[in-house]
Amino acid sequence: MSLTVNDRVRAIATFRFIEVRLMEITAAWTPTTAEMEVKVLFGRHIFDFAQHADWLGKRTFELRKPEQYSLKPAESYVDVIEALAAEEETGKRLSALYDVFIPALESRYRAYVDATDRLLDEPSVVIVERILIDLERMKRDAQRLRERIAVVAVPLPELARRESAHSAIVAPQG
Amino acid sequence: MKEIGFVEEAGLRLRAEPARDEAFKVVRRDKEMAEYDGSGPEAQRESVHRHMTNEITSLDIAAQCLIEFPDAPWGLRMELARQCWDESRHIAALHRRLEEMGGYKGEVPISAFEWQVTCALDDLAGRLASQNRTFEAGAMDVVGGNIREWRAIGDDATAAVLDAILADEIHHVRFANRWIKQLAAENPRVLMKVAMAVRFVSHANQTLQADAGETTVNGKVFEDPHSRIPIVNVEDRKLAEFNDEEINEILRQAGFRSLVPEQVHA
Amino acid sequence: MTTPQLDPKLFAEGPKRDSRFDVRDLWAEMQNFDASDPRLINEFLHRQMNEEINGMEISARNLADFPDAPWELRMSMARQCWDESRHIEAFRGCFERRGVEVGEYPVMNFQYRVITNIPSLIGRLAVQNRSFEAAGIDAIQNEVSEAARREGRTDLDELFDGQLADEVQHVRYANVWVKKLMELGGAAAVFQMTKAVSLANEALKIIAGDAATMYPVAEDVRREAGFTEDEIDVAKRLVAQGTG
Repeated sequence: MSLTVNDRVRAIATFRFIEVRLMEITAAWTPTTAEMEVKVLFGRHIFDFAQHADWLGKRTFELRKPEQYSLKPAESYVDVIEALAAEEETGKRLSALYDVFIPALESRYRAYVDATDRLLDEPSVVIVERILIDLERMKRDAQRLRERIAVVAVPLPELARRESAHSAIVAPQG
Repeated sequence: MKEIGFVEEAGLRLRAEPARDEAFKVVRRDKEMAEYDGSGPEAQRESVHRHMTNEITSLDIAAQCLIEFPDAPWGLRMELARQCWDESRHIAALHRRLEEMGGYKGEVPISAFEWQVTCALDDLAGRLASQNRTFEAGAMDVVGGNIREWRAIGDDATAAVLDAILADEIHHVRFANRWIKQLAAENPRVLMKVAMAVRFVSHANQTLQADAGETTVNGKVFEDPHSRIPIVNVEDRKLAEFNDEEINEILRQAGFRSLVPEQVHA
Repeated sequence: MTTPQLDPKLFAEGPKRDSRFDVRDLWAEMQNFDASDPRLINEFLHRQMNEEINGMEISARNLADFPDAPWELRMSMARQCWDESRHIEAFRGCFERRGVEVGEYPVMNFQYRVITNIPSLIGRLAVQNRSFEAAGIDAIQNEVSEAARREGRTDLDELFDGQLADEVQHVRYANVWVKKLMELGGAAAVFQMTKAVSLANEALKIIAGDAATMYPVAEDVRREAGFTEDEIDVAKRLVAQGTG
């Protein structure tokens, strides 16, 4: 069985919550990151995350919930997002976002596309595929920047482990 | 490009049928269609086939509105273009389901009644009132009930297709409601066009629908037209931005007059 | 990073800068080259880049500080971050082509420090987008004509032209949202905005001293950005007072 409309809107609204938080996290990091080039990278990507949230938020309306409807993920996953937000050091911020969190988010988006009916839910699929193209570009931006200003990637196995420990992130229906 | 003209049918000036591929036999009256009692395999396939061909008609109508009203506000044209995309997916999904059920395109006769009536109207607000606010809103009522029926007979696959379609249809009705309001606010004559459209649709429906006792090509006897009105899908009509008074009026017409509050006239 | 000499009632903590930057607090501490000095344009481009960084940082902070703001407004602020990030790189390109390096001249972060000290979003929008950026529009318009007069169509002319189109959008959305937030917030919102403008004025006097530069009001561009005729007249009177 494919996903129902209710399953779809819950997943899309959860992704929207995450994209809004990523917008806010990169926004909070912008004035508190010293390196100018990294600051500019965050400034640019804030709007990418905002646009993703906006597209997803328009889709929630089509799936019979209010426009720009967000759904908080499972509590333990919110903790992982907040651990990302709490990173202070520039190298760690870059690694946490571009090496751990975005690749994990990409996998979750792909899992959604695999799980849904590509035909009936094509509007969601098109949005997610556009987001995936953006996320790929954003990772490339970050990698090129790190090579240019010689910021070394910092392994963050604990954050990666906590993220990947969640097979599902949509909060259980109350 | 070849224009689609008009035809005369039972004293009505209707739009000639849109192009259909050879697999389909296109008819104009209910009695020329096939309908089956119960929930046997033929009835199931006919139901999905009918949904599928109605979606083809909806696609044609939305596309024709884009062509014939190039000066419509851009926001409305975007909605119509989006509707074309939605209807295309609905057609493909229902065709896929029909084939899974062992059916095929053209298995039973089809009609393009909604097209013939809607595209006979010469203004966009009237067409939105006819197609989106009347036919699609009516379909919303039907599909709401159908989903439960498919689930009841254990066909979750068809129910899932209709569940997804219903979500889209709600928005088609909603955008029509929004745009009619906006167009009427900008130009009060729009309301007159809408009223004329609604009257024309109602007249065409009464003229062309099968009377009690008539039979379909496969021998099913039609009941009285009043007993064929579906249960009103109140919840989704609210999502589609019908107001309470409009919903009450539809409930009254559907035979629930005693249950709804009387309209208060100023 | 924190400058003890500035009153924390008027100035928030400054944004972070890397070690290349020499951050000053007061206009008088800047280099203030004479109009005939060839370094003037280079210092202007470098300073302007840092002001764009301030613009980006302020919008980013607004996103982080006001998560319950209307979504359309948050989208406009996120869009502003993107625009400013492109302007930063464009200004950097311009001065690097002239042989100037990042950090070669001192910079000031007073915009960020004044605005993020304001507790309300309506106040921040009113001060940043309606005041600082609107003044920026006047400055850019002035520089566009000056650069064209001096050098014909150069990379500067192109940069200012593109930047101006973006800045008009920023001022316009602020104008729209300040009005909407005032409608929604009533007397309390008007009070917040008035307080913000008064705090900012007081802070700017400290920063600028007697050295503030006033550019002629770019009337048409301000009109395009949603200012009313009355508001344009007020701006013109203020410039006349400042330069008179």
